[in-house]
Formats: sequence, structure tokens, C-alpha cells
Amino acid sequence: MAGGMTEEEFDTFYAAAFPRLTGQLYAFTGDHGEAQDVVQEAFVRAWDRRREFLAEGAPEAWIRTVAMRLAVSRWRRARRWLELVRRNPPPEHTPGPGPERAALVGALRELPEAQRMAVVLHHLCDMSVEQVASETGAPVGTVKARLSRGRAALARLLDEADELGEREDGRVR
Amino acid sequence: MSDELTPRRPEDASGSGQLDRSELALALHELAQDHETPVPVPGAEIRRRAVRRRRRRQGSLAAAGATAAGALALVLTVILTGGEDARSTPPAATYGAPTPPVTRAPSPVAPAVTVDLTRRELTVEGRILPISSGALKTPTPTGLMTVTAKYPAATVPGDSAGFNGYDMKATWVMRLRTPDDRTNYVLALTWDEKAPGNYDSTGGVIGLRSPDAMLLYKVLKPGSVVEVVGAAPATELAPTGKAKATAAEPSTATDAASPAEPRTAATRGVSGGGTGP
Repeated sequence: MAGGMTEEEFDTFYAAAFPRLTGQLYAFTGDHGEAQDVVQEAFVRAWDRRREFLAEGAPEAWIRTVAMRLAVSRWRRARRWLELVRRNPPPEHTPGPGPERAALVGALRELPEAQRMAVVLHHLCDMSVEQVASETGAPVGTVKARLSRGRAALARLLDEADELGEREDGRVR
Repeated sequence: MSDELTPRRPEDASGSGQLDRSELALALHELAQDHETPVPVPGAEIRRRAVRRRRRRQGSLAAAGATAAGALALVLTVILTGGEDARSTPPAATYGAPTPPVTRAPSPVAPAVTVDLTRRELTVEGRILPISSGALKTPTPTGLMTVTAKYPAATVPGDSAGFNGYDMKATWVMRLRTPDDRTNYVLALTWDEKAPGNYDSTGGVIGLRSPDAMLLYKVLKPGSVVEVVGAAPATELAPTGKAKATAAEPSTATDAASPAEPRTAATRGVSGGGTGP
């Protein structure tokens, strides 16, 4: 086998990294099935292109990048497709995180794609601003701006959700 | 728990107008951790798919263009004509108008669709489409079914119908009521496009390749009757040889058993429809 990674090594890596990556992709996509799908597809591509995959030296980051790109392009394609075949948007079938998590997931989904990706990569995947910049092909200053706007938007959205929640608890009314 | 996730008070965050960084990181990490998913298939299966894909790519470079053109033609045909216009198909039931459902209203003795689990074939309007049904442990219910609903996209529950017990987001989903009042689905097997015609991989649902599922979706309405007969064959029909056949490589298709034939029929019908006026 060319590529310098044995089947056992790959399987071990897959078993260890898959759950972590689906969690991260869930934060990015807000959808379980989608997260699982794109991560799995990224692993298939990784084995298919072992050489490229290993040359990068950061296998998990490689998978994550591929999975995120897949998620973005699938989402765009699905949206276009749905616009073609029907006028009204599809019902959301996101299986349930608890209410407090739902607030964060919901807030994340409201963010523009670029901001969401920057926030997830920086604050969840622990990448530096410079790493996020090279990952997304944007200048460092742009990434900083996206992060700052993303955090501001999240704060605002979560505040709204919070107030709503309190009122429903009956504390306000 | 919810307190960690949401900013305490408006005042707290209002200083900078932003979430506290570490608080956000913590919330995100918890969120991600909560949603980690165990591996759905073993690593060996992932590698197998990669290998199969490579083999197919190498085996059918020449055929790829034709296949893509065929797929495009199908998509266009269905979009432009509503899927009913496929001239060169052996015309069993032909609709001229794009809104045929009323005439097709169910009469239980005349199913709109017949599914043969043994042959892994679905017959609709004279076309034969390859299918994949429930694996041996999770057999597909048989008998006369009624279509009770259909969705362009829906989440199919893992326990009754999904994939390895996971809920699956699927497209072109048609819900069936079985004779013993259970629920089953016909859908696009997007996560395993090689299965239809080749092996039985589902938790009970009847899966088609996406273009075929879309075509069927256009034909079936709530109330349509689907007849399911036979049982999944105990052994797989040489999946590797079939994978190549799926890639439309005629030389290897000959060694494959039945499913190669229906595929050609479908493709022929489709490209004919696409090039026709």
C-alpha cells in the first residue's frame, strides 16, 4: 500500500477522530445527519487520496477542512435544488438538542457562513487567527473582523433567546 | 447548565457587545461534545468504499461523460416535463398531461408500482428500476402497501427504517403503510448509491438511486398502491463486478446477472426523453 499509513493505523485514526469531528461539524451545520454524512465522506476521500492526505501532516485538520467544504457546497446545492422544485422552504427536521443547546445552535445557524466558520474554527477547533486565515483563504484582518462580528451577533441572538426563555419560565410574567 | 451557555445578563455582555471568549469556547466545546456521533460503519468499510470509488473511476473514464450526460438528461427531463415524458420507454401506461393523479387513484387490485425484492427490481410505468431492500436481519415487509405521504426531504427514523440504527436525512421519501399497519419508506439511497440492484443494505426501507427515486416520486401520490413481493436473496450478487456494471462499462456488465439489464433500459429511456423535442 502506498502512502505510508497502514490499514490498521487508518482504522484507529478513524475510530478516534470520527466522533470528535462529527461534534464539531454539528456545531457548524446544526444537523446530525449532515454532520455524520460529510465527515464520513471526508474519510472515504482521505483513504482514496492517502498521499495528499498524509503530506499535509495534520490528518484531522485535513478531514475537517474537507468535511466543512462538503457541508457548505451541499447546503448551497440543496438550497438551489429546493428553490427549483418547490416554492416554500422545507420543514426543519433537526433532531433535538436540549433547549439551552438549541439556543446556541439556532444562533449559530443565523450567522453568515463565513462568520460561522471562523467562530467554529477559532473557538471550537482551537485554531489561531492566522491558521483560520490560511484555512479559509482570507486575510488575517478579515478573519478578526468576522470573529468579532460573529461574537457580537451571537451575544445579541442569545440575549433574545434568553429573555424569551425567562418569560416562558414565568419569571417575568 | 443553561446558565453557562447564555450570556448572564445583557449588562455583562454589553461592555464589549460580545460574548466572553472563554465562555463561548466552553459552550461550543460542550455543544460539540454533546453531539459526538459514534462511528456508523467500521474503518474497513470506509476503505472499501474508497477503493471501490477509485476502481470505478479508473474503469469508466470513457463512460463517465456519457453517464453524466445521461444523468443530466434525466434531471432535465424530469424538471422540464414532470417526468412523465420518456418517449423511448416501452409505453405501458402513458400520461399526456402533467397532472395524472386523479385517474391513477388507487384501485387495490392494480398497484401503480411492483417491487420484487428477490430480483431487486421496481417496476413503474413499464420501467424497471434497481432497488435495495432490508438486509437479512431487517427484512422489508411485503404485501400491498398504500402511499400515505411523500416528502422531497425528510428524516427517516433509524429504528424502523434507517441506516445502522441512525436517523437518516433522505430525499424523495415516500411513506408506505404496510398491510399489518406498520410504516415503511421508499427513498433515494443517497448514502449507498451502489446498493440498488446489487445488495440489500437498508434497515427495511426500499432504496433507489437518486434519479430513479425522483422519477418514482413524480409518479406516486398519497393513495397510490405499491405491491411488494419476494424476499431479499440470501447472498449478494457479486458486488464488485456489479459496481463496475453500475459505472456503465459494457464489457464487465455482461458477467453481471440481471440488474445490468434494467439499468440499460432506464438509461435508454431517459436519454431518449432528453434528446427528444
